[in-house]
Amino acid sequence: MTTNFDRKRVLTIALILFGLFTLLIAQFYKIQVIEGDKWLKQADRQHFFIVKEPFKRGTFFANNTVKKGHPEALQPFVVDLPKFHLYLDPEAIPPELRDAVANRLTTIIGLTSGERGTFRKQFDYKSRSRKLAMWLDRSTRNDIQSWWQTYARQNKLPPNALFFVGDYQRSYPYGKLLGQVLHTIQGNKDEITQQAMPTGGMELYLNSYLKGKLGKRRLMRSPRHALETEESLILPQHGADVYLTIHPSLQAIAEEEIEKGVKNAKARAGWAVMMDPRTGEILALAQYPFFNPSEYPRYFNDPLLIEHTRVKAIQDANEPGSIMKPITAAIALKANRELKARGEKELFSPDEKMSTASGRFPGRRKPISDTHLHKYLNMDMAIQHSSNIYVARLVERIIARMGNEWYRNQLSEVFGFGKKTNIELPAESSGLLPTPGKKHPNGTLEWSVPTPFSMAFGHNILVTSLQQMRAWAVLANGGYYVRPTLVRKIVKTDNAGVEHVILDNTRPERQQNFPRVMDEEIVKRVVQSMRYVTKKGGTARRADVPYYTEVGKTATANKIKGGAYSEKLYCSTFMGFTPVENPAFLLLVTLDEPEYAYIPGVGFNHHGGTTVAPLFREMAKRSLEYLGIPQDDPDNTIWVQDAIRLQEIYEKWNMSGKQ
Amino acid sequence: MINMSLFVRIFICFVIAGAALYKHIDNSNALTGLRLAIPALQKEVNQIKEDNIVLQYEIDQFENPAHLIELSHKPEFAHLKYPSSNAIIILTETYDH
Repeated sequence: MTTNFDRKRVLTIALILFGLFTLLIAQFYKIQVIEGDKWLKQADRQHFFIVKEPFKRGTFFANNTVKKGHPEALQPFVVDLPKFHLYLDPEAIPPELRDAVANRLTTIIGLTSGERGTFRKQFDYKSRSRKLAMWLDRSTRNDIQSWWQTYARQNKLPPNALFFVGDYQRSYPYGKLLGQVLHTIQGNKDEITQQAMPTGGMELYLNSYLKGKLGKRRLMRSPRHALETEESLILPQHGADVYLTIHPSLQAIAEEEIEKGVKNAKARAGWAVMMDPRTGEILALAQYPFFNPSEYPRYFNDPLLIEHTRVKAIQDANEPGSIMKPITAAIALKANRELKARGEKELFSPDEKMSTASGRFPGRRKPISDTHLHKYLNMDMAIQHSSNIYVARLVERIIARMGNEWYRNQLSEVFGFGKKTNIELPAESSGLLPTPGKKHPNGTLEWSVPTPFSMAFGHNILVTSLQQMRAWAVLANGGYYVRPTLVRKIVKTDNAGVEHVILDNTRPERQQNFPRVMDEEIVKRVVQSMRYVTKKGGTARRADVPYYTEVGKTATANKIKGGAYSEKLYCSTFMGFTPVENPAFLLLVTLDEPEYAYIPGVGFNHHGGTTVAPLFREMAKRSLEYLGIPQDDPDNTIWVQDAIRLQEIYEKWNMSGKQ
Repeated sequence: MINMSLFVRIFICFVIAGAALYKHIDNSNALTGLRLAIPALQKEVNQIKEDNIVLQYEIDQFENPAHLIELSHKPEFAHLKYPSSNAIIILTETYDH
């Protein structure tokens, strides 16, 4: 009995032990296998923490291919510099020490007395994380750290009551240069995505290329950060770099000259655009008053300064005025060509003696007038003297023979008026090219009977400066329709250092695909007429570039204020290219609202030939010299004899009593 | 004599094994020392790289085209002229064997 009892007891104990052991195994299985991932994650959380690694936003590089022998080193317009933000854990600092800590920090950081009040307030917030200061450099960070380590130890404060977060700051080695085009990013990033928020310009337009992706790094919670405490989970992906068409020295020349020009003419603003007429590459795009991206809050908080953050050459559409006249002449010559092909009589001859005494046109109550009375003109004289009546007569004949639609089609399809250039900048205006039968918002017809006569000399049509550049490029490059661009290449470099070209505007096929829209002969004939504008008898003698040939045209367009032409507000422009054979660049210079005044011995200040023409000359001369373009008119005598002969014919035709 | 010979052979084996073990541990220690130094060195390299970026930025600030143009207006640089592109000769690199 005793033996059986003992056996049962032993068996019971064994079963209990076995059961307990089974439970232990089951619990072990539950923890290790079923809930293994959960406990592993918890252990990881206790031993490791994950920090986000910032990426570098893409950089803008200057064009170093324009000048022969130019150094090949890359010149960045913008650089991401490593900086630090200072944060505070206010609850970790006792109230009696807050004044002392704040005072010491403001001294190290170098805050002004006005900023100190806001800085001190951060210590009183009930929060575990307040941003005290932004964009501190490494030396300031080191100064704060060395002071804080001692101070925190002496006062038994947690060392992490003050901490730093690294970041990259958009910095501009060339300061305000190209400010409106580049723009910048806001100081604060998007809270959720940690992406930069661009303020405009190319930063905004190319944001999808410039931005990168945050990386993740795992750190071990170890006071000594011993062996293998860091591990990259996801490497940060840096943004793509943008190689611009802008040449920094040409840009600097343009900015210096436009600043001088605006100040001398007491204008509201001014801008200049320089373009390679063969490739459409914008070499310089300057605008004064300048916009300094580093000081962007100052511009955006001031209603008077905010307009200087816009790129007026692409966002403001104005009536182009007289620079439209060579375009009109080219369209008339093209009409000639088409009529001849049909076997019909030509519209006109460039050498024809055309009557320009009367400015009466169908549908106009007020006759069209010229600044001086010209009884008879041919095409060369009309361009040289900037005759409104002559070009309006040409369009009168075009409409009579070819029709409104044909004329509008030439302006739209050959020269691109009314169409965006699709330049790599936001908020581009498409301008306004009137359409027959279409109405303005106020109910009036866009295109009435006299509209084409006004368009002949650049009225009743709205055009941006860049659209004018594209149209004139047809004349400068022998008849091709180019696509203006600010970007040569976009290149993304991966973490292995391999470059991937996302966009390449430098490939030869791009240029080869530009369509021919005008015969070379027509273009040459129009260019021939423009040769005399800067010579004796022309409206822009002050635009004559010494030692080089140039052609160009002035424009003095009345601005529209309150729905009517202003008598005293003008937009004055000079546009031209130089040297005439194989131009180095096409250049447009505009002064917005130059002072309405008469300068004795020179002329009206607001006229294109008075204040803008010399700006063109200086900008072109300095740029040609810088580029090392060989002089093609070293004696300044080219076309002078032709201009004298033209003047003699003009006088013969227009002398009183003789016709 | 046999026991002495065995003892010597065992002794030599122990010495060789000990030396090998010592060498192995020494190498491991050296390796560990290097691995410990990597994070600090990495940090130092990153800091030097960042310092280089800041220095290059300062050089670029000085070489700002607007600043160079301003310098070129000074009388001491008035003798400098831009060369004509015809006068620029670009030599390509060649190797003499």
